[in-house]
Amino acid sequence: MSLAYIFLKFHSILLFISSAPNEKKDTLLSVEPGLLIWTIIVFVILLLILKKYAWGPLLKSLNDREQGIKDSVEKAEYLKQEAEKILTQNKALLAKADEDARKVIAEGKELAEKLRNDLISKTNDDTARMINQAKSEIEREKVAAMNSLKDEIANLAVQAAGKIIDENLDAAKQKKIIDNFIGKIPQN
Amino acid sequence: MQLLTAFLTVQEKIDTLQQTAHEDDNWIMHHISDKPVLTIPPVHIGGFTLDLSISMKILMLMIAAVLMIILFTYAAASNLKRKHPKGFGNFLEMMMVFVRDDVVKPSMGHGADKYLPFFFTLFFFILFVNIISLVPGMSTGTSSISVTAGLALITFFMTQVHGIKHNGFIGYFKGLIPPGVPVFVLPIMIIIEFLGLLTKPFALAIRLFANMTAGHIVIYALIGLIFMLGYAVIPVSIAFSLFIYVLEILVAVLQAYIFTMLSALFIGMAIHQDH
Repeated sequence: MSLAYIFLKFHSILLFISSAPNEKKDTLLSVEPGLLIWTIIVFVILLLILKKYAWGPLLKSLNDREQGIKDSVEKAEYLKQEAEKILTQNKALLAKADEDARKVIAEGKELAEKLRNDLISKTNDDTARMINQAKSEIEREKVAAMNSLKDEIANLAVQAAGKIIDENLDAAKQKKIIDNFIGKIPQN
Repeated sequence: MQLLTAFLTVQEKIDTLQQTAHEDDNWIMHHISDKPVLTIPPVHIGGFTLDLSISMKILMLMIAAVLMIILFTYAAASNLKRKHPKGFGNFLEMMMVFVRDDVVKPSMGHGADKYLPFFFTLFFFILFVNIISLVPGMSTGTSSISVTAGLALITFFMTQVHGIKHNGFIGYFKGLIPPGVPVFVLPIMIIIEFLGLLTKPFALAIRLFANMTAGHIVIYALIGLIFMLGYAVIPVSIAFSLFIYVLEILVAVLQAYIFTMLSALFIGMAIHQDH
């Protein structure tokens, strides 16, 4: 029973909604010109007022802010690129400076090595020369000493022989004998 | 024989029910329909009588309009004052961005900025009228075909005026017919396109009106069940009407969105006829 009631209820509502417009003014689907005109009037006035006092300022502030955000983002992007460029430049410079320093150090080392080697070889040469010089000097002195010693010994021997042996033996003959004797003596 | 008497009694019951139903259904209509608030004597223009009395629904439209003016000018002033909007200004701006970027621009394409104030007003006006109708004791402005027809007429007017402005009078009506149509179909196409022009605002008006009316009728009917079927159905009735009520909030926003989107689509189509 209740189901039939509900059905009838909705059925009657549907009948009411779809009833012919010439029935009465109160039907749902009849257009009332007064209401329609009032709607348009209210809407147009609302549009004009809001356009001037609300949408204008609101859109302006919205657009300004959006533009500001866009500009900021673009500027940040630009600055980032710029910073990256500077960073790569700095890196390149740093690498170059590093390279230069290494080169300078290597050159210095090379130079020092060369100088050291030169110095060592020069010193060695000098020493060798000096030693040689000294050796030859010593040799010369030794020869000279030996020679003078020979003369001295000969003279001494002649004098001694003259004093000891008689004077009948002349000096020249004696000297010859002594020289022969000395010649037989080994050098050292 | 017994069956027949049973059938007859059922028939009788249905008859009486039908009668009571006919007496009863007026209270729903009474709530749905308009009531005059301030009667203004009708104006006679020629043979035509114009009743410009302010009724409940017009009052609702005016309340919505005044509320919008107060709230939005306040929001505009508050947004202009500070760099970052907050509170209602921020919320309104979010809605505006939604209407601009998700409703108007996709439907209208380029050149939408010029029409933004119109669409904002349309969207928020319908939204406010719909929301106000959910406040107990208020009437539903948009549940009258006259009001929605008025709004649809505004869209229709905007469509035609801006279409003609953009494409020229002859160009606009020539552009209505798709290019490359054979000559022998032209008479039919002209009639179809002309009807199409009229059905668009008609559909707009009917859609908004039906959506806003149906929800209210359903709520009234559900409440009415209590008095028809007894107090046992109170929990069911309340639960269902609450559900419909919440649904109505969704419908209120949705219908404002759809009306605005379709208006943008129609105006956009009238302006950019080439695609």
